[in-house]
Amino acid sequence: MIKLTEKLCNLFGPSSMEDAVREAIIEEISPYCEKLYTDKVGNLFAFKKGIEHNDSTTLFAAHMDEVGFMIQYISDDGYLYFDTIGGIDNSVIGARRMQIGENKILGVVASKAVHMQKPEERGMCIPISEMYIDIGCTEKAEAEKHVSVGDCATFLPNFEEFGDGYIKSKAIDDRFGCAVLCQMIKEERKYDTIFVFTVCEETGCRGALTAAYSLNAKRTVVIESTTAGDLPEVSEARRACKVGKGAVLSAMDNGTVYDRDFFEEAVRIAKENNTNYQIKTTVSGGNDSQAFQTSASGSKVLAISAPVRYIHSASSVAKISDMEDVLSLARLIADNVKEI
Amino acid sequence: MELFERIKAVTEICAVSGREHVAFSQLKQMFGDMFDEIFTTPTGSFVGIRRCGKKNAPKLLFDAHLDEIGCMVKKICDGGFLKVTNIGGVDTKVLSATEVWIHGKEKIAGVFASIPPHLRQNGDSKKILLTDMYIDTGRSKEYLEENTPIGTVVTFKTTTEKLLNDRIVGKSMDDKLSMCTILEAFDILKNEELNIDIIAQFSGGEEIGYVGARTAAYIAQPDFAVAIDVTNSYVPEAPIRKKGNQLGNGGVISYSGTTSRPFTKRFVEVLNKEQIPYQVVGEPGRTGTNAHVLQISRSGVPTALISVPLKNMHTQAETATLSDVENVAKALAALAKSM
Repeated sequence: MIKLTEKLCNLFGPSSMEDAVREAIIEEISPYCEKLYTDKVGNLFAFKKGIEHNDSTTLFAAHMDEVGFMIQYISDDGYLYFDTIGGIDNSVIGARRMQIGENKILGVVASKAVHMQKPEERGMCIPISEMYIDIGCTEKAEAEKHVSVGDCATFLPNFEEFGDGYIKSKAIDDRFGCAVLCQMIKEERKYDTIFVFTVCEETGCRGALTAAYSLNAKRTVVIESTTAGDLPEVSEARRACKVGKGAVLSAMDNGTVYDRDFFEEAVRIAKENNTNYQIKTTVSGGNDSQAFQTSASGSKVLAISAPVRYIHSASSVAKISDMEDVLSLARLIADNVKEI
Repeated sequence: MELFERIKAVTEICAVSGREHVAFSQLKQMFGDMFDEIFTTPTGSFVGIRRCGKKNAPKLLFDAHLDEIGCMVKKICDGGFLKVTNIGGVDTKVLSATEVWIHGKEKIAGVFASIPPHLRQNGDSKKILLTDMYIDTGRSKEYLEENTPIGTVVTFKTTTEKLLNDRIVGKSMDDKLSMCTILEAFDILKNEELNIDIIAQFSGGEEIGYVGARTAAYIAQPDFAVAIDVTNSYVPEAPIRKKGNQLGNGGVISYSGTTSRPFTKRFVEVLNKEQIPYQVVGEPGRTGTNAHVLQISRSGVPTALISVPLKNMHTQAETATLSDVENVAKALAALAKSM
């Protein structure tokens, strides 16, 4: 699963441009599922036959897109002004490199040198609206040969195993979730199970809305990555979840109050099987669950997440053991929950 | 060696102020055969001399600093986190989620951590302060205590790459790009008969107060010196008076209240005669470079300053132009030939 996470994390796939990720997933899973198709907005559906048939199948979902940037204006001196696709904090953009457009032109976000900053500017991150990318061109016409307004950009591929059992990469959110789903599809499943790899989660859970409408599954499990705030000096109450403490179950976030029965069932299964889990301690973030819960006639939703530090940055950090715990719990739920 | 390959090799060397000696063997291996004599100093300078073979020949010293900004471990925290202090002027506003090398007994990777935006509270300062940041290593505290004790240095973990045209991006272009101008000048002068001995001084400790240049120049005893450094290029958010110095227009000659005007003028005359592109800057007082101490070494050394224009200085994304490096190298070679 780590090898596949690496492959997927390193692909270019900001919201609305998930093609490379989808193709890689198709290549990975097509021998292992009965039916595989892409819908009109780009969601990828995979149907897996179980040993037993059950009438109410469970849906597992993960999103293919990553946060990124879009070019909005090319200045006379050849600089590219941009805004973010999805939420990226301005503190992790300055002086960062990115790949831009289909030709993956290398660019670097300019950052006014510390020597030229006024005292009040020191340590202050500039607003994204004032940031610009340097690709090495000095004139608009020349820059336009390489980049167009509307081109998308992402951080550079940089997956690495890190420290004692960690990974560091861009786009762990949510290529990790995609890798979990791929692994589940490759294995034998007890019950018929549906999987969906969604588009455009970062721009408002938009792929999930249409996927949920088409499938109208009774139960949906979203496999995600969620912010871990377990840094020294951050109080326990604000840490949300901790890297190394297992799969994260959410009772509530900014988009969803999760189905209580499904949540309790997940906790029971985790306990029974000694799977490491933790419950998210803050109401923060949100994911495709809100779309699955509210689209068509609705679905009972559960989110199982890997705790990830520095999420939505060029260098997110996650722990392999947590990722394995998420996979274990997802497997157990797929093979044990017949009815809720 | 092709210019970009040389710049990549030199800029990817890690030599934080006060720890330059770790680079000596690499420098010797890469460039040792370019010099007739080499010496290193206890304060982190690596000096190579090429003799012209003439008796009592005057000595022209080219100085670029070997050291780069970085951080130093000051505390090992629970959970695999390190607290660090800055060495030189580190720009904290771009540090969040930045990747670093921690140069312990074993070199390990790390990521600068800061509190995620949605977990910040209204009372939290918006200013990014190094005292609020940590480096995440993914290691145990016991391992860190053993491998990366207090005093271990930290550098940016990045590579030097080409952008479009001849623009390049990487760490520590300040001032390893200038080291490359000197090496290129030595290459240009390879088969030239000179009337002077030329000295390449790669000095330590510039970022922490010119320590290396001060002491190495004392040993080298030059008759003339040129400091080569980087200077902030104009960018859209800079003051208008910076507009005269831009990437791609050649080296920036400094007229300063702290360098030698006659020697600077002589340098400019050579550039005009040889038609080597350059730009000028007026710096009334301190130049913030080794020129500051070279000029007053021993009983005084006429010193000029030429700089490579650079953007995003003191970040992991220092950006420059190859043609400026070439033009500064040509300028240094022309000056040496003219003497």
